[in-house]
Amino acid sequence: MMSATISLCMIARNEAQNLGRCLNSVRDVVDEMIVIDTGSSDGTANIARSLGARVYSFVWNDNFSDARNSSLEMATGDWILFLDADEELAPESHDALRSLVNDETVDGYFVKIINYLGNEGWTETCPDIVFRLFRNRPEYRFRGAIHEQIADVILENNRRAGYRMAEDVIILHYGYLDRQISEKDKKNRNLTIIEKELGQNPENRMLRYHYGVELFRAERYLEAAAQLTFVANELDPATIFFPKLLRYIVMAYHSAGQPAKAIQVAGQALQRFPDYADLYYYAGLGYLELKQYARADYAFRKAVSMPEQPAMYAPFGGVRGFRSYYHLGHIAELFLNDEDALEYYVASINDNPNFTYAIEGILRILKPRENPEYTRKCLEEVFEFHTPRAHLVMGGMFFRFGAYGLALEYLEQGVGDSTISDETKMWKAICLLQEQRHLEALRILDEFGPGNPLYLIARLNKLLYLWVQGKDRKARALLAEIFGLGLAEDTKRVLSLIASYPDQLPESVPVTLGPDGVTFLLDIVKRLLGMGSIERAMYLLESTSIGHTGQALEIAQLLYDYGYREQAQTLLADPETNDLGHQAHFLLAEISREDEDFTEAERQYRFALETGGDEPRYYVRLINLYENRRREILAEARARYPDVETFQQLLNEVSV
Amino acid sequence: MRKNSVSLTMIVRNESANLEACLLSAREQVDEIVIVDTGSTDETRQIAERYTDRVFLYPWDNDFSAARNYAIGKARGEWILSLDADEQLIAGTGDLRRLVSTGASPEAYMLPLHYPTTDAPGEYNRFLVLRLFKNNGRYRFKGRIHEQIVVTASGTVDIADGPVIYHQHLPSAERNRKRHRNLVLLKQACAEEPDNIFLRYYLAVEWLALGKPHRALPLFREAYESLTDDHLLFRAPALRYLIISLRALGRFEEAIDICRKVAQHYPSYTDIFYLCGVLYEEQHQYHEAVKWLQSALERGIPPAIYSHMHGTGSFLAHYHLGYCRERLGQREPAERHYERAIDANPDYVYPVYNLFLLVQGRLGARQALDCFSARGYLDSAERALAVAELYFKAGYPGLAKRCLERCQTDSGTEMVRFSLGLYNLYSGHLQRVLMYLDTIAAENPLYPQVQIHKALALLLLGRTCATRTLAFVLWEDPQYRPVTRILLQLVRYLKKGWRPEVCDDGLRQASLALLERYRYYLPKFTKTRHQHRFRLIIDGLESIAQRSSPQGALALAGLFQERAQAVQDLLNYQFGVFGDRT
Repeated sequence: MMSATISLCMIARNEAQNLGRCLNSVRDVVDEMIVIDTGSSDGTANIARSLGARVYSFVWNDNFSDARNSSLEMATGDWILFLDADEELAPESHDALRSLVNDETVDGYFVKIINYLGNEGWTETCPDIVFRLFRNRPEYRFRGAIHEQIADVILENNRRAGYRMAEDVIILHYGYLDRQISEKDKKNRNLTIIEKELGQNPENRMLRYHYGVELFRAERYLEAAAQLTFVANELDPATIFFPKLLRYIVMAYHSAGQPAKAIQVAGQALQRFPDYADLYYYAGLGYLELKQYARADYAFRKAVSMPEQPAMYAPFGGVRGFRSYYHLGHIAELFLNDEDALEYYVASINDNPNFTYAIEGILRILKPRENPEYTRKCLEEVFEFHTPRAHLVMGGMFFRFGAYGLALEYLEQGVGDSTISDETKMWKAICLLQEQRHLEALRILDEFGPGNPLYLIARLNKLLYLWVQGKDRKARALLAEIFGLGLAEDTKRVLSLIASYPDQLPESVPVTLGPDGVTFLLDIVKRLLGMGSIERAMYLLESTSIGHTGQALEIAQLLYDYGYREQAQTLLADPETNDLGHQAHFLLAEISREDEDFTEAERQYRFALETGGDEPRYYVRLINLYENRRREILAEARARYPDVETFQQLLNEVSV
Repeated sequence: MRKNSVSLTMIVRNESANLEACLLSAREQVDEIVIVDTGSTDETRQIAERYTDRVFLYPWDNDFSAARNYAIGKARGEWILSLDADEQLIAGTGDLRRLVSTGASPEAYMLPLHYPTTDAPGEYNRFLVLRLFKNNGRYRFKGRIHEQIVVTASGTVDIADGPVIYHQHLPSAERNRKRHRNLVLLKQACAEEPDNIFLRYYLAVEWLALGKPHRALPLFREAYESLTDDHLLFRAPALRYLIISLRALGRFEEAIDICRKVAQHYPSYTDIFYLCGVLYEEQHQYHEAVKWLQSALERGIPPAIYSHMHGTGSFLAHYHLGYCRERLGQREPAERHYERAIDANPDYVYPVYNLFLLVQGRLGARQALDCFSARGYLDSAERALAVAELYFKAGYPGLAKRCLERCQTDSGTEMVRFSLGLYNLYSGHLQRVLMYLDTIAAENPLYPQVQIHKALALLLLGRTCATRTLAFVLWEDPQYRPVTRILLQLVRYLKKGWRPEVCDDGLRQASLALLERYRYYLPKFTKTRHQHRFRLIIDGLESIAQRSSPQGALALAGLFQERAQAVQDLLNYQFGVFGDRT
């Protein structure tokens, strides 16, 4: 029997860049290629012709369906494969495509499409399903100005038309990579057009479905949910896009800030599609929002345990992997369960090495500033940093965590032989300063000339070095120079404090700073603490009024993080800041716990709970505190009553 | 016989505690009061004579009907109202005179009777009882017990919406005494009339009330199955009690089966829908429970002919709906249901507790208080006390104090002042403790507790001499000697640094009791001196417990285990239990 023939059809305008990729991907598998040019000025038509396509032109009339249908008019094959110019057919699809068109019982196929999205510096894939392969019949024509549909047209003409899912035919779509998915007014324009069409065909479910999706894209979530729910109730659940539709409803409620509703719909949808990971994932997000962490934990664990998803689910990337693992790690972290958190974050990274949120989670637990060697060991056991870029990313992250030694190491490996950017150079200089490698640091800092945008920062860093080293004369000279550069008032105030050190006495009127000044000052304080220069740090804090303002907690946290517990405690226990928030109480409790002051720690944890009842760690710490106290009592009793075995038994139980 | 005149007839024996309230509730609505005393040995007769000169003596012969009919014989009104001494007419629920002067044809009326199920107002079962009838010689009581008016001609009895008779809630001892007496009489009556299904029904009611559902069950089943809807007055409660008995026996599925079957037959019988919901709830089938409870809400109060438990169509249904929604993780709807339960019956306290936990979980303890206050839940002293105690037990004495501070001016009862003293102590406002506690009279049964707390405040204030003086007063009562000795030891420890001596069982228990209380101590501002003394006190108490005996050490360790567990429970409540598959 003769094999069925396939026509590739497409419309294109100014697609010279993409067209080659697209046509080359199909020319060996189709029998003819038809390109309708709707008005290109960049040689699109010539490229198409040179690759063997038949090219026709069509005068654009603001209607996608008309243009597409004109391509179908020209097709002579038994089947139509319809592509856009910014798509290509995946090479491994060829065999499947050829065999699928020989199935007599099928009128059309949904195929898999993988959308590439540019996101946070790395590329993400987002699979979906589209109806692009169908029999070439004159009555099968596109309809609709925007979401030109053909699947329902075929059904109308042939009630018994059979559709299948073609799992092995895959289209790759690059169109989202280099441009915004769609701007706001474009969305609204689309909406207006669909509304008009819907007015004419209120019964058209497919159209209503697209209307719902378009509402979702325009961030009109509740309306989207209403439209989509309406369609869901009308639709045969066996419809191929039914699972997607349900997920859209869940997402719409989720985005509308109605997590309870999203959870409810997800639960209903799971009864029909019990292995649909995305539904568990969104239920998990809903529970997270409601702070029902145990349920969220369960949902995300279900999500990662789901089997390979069928194409009709159009599964989102990472749902069965890094995204769910990340949330599981985050939940564990909230409950101070570092071990599990670490394990989940590592699982997340293993699934997607570019997912920096999980790396940050790991660093929060490992604390690279306090434990640089341990952190390095752990990370190197788990990951392989092959590329310079990976090192650079890690270096930047260590830098943010104040782990300057590690940052320096990774930055150096990350730079390799390539030319080093000014920003990276500055990071390096700062790391060197913090690591007390002054000469190397100064060498780099002096490379920044007055024309460089980072010049001021370089000078300020040098000033910091001179000040900390007690080179007062040089510092004053540099200060004068810096003042000459023209500074903001707040910056000047902070620098004046440095100039008058150590004469500005804490008793004199404290300097008041605006928000920029506060940020600047806290940056300096952090650097000073990192260098162990507590006197200068305290001098800056005490000369300003920021300890008594909203910043008290932030400063206390900073002092605590750098090991200055007493200073942190004094700052918060100041009677002037008497109505403390729960975070302050928690910090005070942590300090007292580390000082082994049970009574005070208990008191502060309980106050933390009084207003911060939705923070699991407060409970966890208080429970641990009581349990430790119980252990102490049992241990003391064991020593006092060596003949009574109960105490030993109870202690054994506890340690198990 | 004056037209439309009403005679209240009663038989009484030793009812001095209740009689007056009953007479006060009814005397404005009747023209004559006839009281038959069957042999009181207390003040009953004197009380009766203050309200009527028609008091008669009738020697008790173990036959309620005979005594009641004797009373009817003495009545001169056109109508008879028959009440028991532990019943009252609820004011504002209906007018007897208007009822009998409507000129309508009925010769007798059934009146609603509210029979309380607990001490709290608003929790009662509603029945219909025939208590108002023409004094024309045709209506006489029959039966030794659960004596009933015999209705001769059908169609002459009507159902009235009011006045409502309220049955007083008796102390449990008295209730049980009466029940046992009834049981004996009923058994006897049943033996005499083995075919009387009504007597057997009454017998079942007594068995159920005495906590023997397995004995009640077959009798209720028999009553329900052999009676027809012509006797709905009995058949409806028999059905309700049948379901309740099955529930009490843990036979949930059978009970649910019955509910589902009869719901169609009695579509307006709220109680069935409510019970079915509650049964599903007990089976942890919350979705199903919600459906049935919603149906109960929609039905509201059923027609008077159905024996009905008050609230099954309103606050009780809301309360259980709240619980089911909570179990389904739907916290916001749960909150709404609890609120509506409270609105529908402000005296029903259980939803306050659930609502407290929910709101506290959502907003935090302090914000929850503002929310409660804004909703007016703290306006009545009684509820404010309840909420305050919740806060106190949850470890927030400062917030407990704030609950009461708004109501102290209008209703500064001793209970409020005592609680305020307590909460001030535990939230570290030591001076105010004395201010409140000093106002409580020595006659108050709480007085010893007042003194103990006063002593603790003085101790924390470092006023050791005053503490010692107070301790010697407490010494007078042998019951408080262990506490006294501990106080004295603590005084010595604080003053001279002498650790408490090894001690006996009584001391151990007293110190553990004090430690248990100190669990709630959470002073907002600690002066270093207070904190130092507090540490010493805790240290002293713990070392008494620890050194007294291994049991003491064990109990002390147990104390901390309990605290850890309490926080763990709260954590589980707030965020769920990990690994839970719901």
